[in-house]
Amino acid sequence: MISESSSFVKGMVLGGLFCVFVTLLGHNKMGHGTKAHHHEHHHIQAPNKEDVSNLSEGERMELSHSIRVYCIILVKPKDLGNWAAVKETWSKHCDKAEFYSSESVKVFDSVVLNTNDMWVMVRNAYKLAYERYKDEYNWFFLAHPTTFAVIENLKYFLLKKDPSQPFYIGHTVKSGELEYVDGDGGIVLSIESLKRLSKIFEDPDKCPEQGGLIWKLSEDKQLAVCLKYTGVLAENAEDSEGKDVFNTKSVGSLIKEAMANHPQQVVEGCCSDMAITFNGLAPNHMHVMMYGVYRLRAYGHNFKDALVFLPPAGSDND
Amino acid sequence: MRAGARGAARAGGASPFADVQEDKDRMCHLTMKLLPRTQELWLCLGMVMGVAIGFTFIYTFRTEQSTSAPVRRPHYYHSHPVEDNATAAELYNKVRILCWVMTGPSNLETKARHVQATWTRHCNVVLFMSSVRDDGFPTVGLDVKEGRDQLYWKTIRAFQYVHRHHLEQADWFLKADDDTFVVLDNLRWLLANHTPEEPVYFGKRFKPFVKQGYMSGGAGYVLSKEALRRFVEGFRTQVCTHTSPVEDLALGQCMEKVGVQAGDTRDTKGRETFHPFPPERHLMENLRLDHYYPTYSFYPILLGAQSCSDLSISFHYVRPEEMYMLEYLSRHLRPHGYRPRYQPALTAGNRTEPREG
Repeated sequence: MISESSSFVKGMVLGGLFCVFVTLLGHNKMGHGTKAHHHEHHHIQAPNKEDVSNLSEGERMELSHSIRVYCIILVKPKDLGNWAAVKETWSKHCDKAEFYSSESVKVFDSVVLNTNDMWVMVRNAYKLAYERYKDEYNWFFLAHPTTFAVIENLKYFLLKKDPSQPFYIGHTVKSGELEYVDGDGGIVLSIESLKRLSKIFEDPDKCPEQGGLIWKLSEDKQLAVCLKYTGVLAENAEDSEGKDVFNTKSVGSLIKEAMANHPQQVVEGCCSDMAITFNGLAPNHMHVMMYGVYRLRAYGHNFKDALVFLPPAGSDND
Repeated sequence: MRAGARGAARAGGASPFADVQEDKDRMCHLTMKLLPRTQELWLCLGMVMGVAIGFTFIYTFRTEQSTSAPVRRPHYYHSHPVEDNATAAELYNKVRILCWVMTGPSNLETKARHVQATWTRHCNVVLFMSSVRDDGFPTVGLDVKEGRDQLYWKTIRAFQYVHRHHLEQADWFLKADDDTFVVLDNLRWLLANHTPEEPVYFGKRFKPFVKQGYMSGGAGYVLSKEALRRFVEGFRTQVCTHTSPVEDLALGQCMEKVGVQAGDTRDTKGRETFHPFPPERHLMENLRLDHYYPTYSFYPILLGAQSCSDLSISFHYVRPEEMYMLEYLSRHLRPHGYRPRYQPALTAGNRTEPREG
């Protein structure tokens, strides 16, 4: 009897050790052990309103000019309607916006990538953007043609963030151990992150060009994996009330959800006052958003914001 | 050890316990064969238990970690106001607007509720006009029936009700439908240039049938206090009667009869502020090619971005979701730091002393 129970105990100990061993192995593989962080989900917030209240107008303008955003919009010929809408609306507010297309299109200029594969498009777009613009812009915003972005709110969000630090910001999603930015809401990289990304592109083991042969990751997950190898982690952007500022859905969808979930507080509960992106918009909706964001307003409400942005030249819908 | 016993037993020969002993021996022998297997069995069972307990422990530990880690850490800022509402607040007190919304029992939950939750909150006084009194909503019960042919009766009764019970509470009197969206602050900006003693009314001006034109009912229209007095007096003296069920046209005809001026509501760049359609139609369609619109529009039709003023006052045929969306876009979402192109001053006509009552 004693020998049997001792065998049992020995067995349990062996089993337990086996467990621990397997778990540790799993952790190390994902590089989890490298960060002392126990925070499962990473959040990053908008700046404090008090941060820049003592600056003069000139200083504010200078600060505003120092945040330079380069916009990459990935397009395919089938997106022509949305492509036109983006061109005519929000992209005019980027310091520079370029359309990276799968193939050449007669109607519009674009950077031609000659591939239909989304991950290859993302890779090559980032590579080209870094090569050409690393000295001219400090923030890189990648979007799809169904996304509407308010670049002023993006710049305001980035106000106190140092671009020489690795930032990878957007609307994040967790898939198992991997936290990644959902491409539908737009992806923001600091110049430092883009620099590291360009380096890891040269490592086909860690960041393969073609994705996995057996099991292909979506391009936004693949991007997160590559960045993770360089020590860059995704962060979910929120305003001071904890509301997401990058949205993967349209205002209309979010309003409908709010009407169902909290009908007493639809507008208050729906979306941030400093929302940066919405997604899933048809071309006409982009124009309505442009009017609603930049032009339509209630008279008599004045704001003293930290930054100053002037309307772009040669435009009348903003 | 047992071998010895067995040996002794076998050596015992014809003892009465010999068979039992042999059986016992055989059993022991068998047990010995099984024993290592039993021990292995227990070892295996132990390992399984160990693994099971181990994983359960680790899983619980990790889940606890993720739930105990703060998901949202809101920063509590001191309220350092970035928004200066002084002008809007001043206008709210100086340009008092009573809004009455044309609705009915079947529309209360589907339409009127959303109007109530959005733009009417910014009226100085708001009344929902129905054929049935509902103290819960609340709605005023007018002595009318429901139906398109009753619209002018409803309008007449509504203005009479407002005149009888609320005349001193406001300077201007707005009529809207339950699918009209109104930006009250922009209406106040428009009206700040006028006085409630002027016999004038404002809205989306239509040109046919009435010499001075008349205002679209769906886009909403607003009467000065003097205009309201003359309208009610007109019905009392029968100068105005129920000429037709077409509410906006009939009212426009009465207005002309009693000498109330049809006003121009375009902004300082000539862009319209009252709109008979939702924003998308005005911004995206070429309404010069529409069947009726060119016949009706009093002023030249501007296209694209020029079709709508930055300080638009109303839109019509606005569905509930769009009510909330327009409220969010006009009052909440904004491009921080952006200096708009159109920044008109609050022009002459505004007084600085507060009103009484």
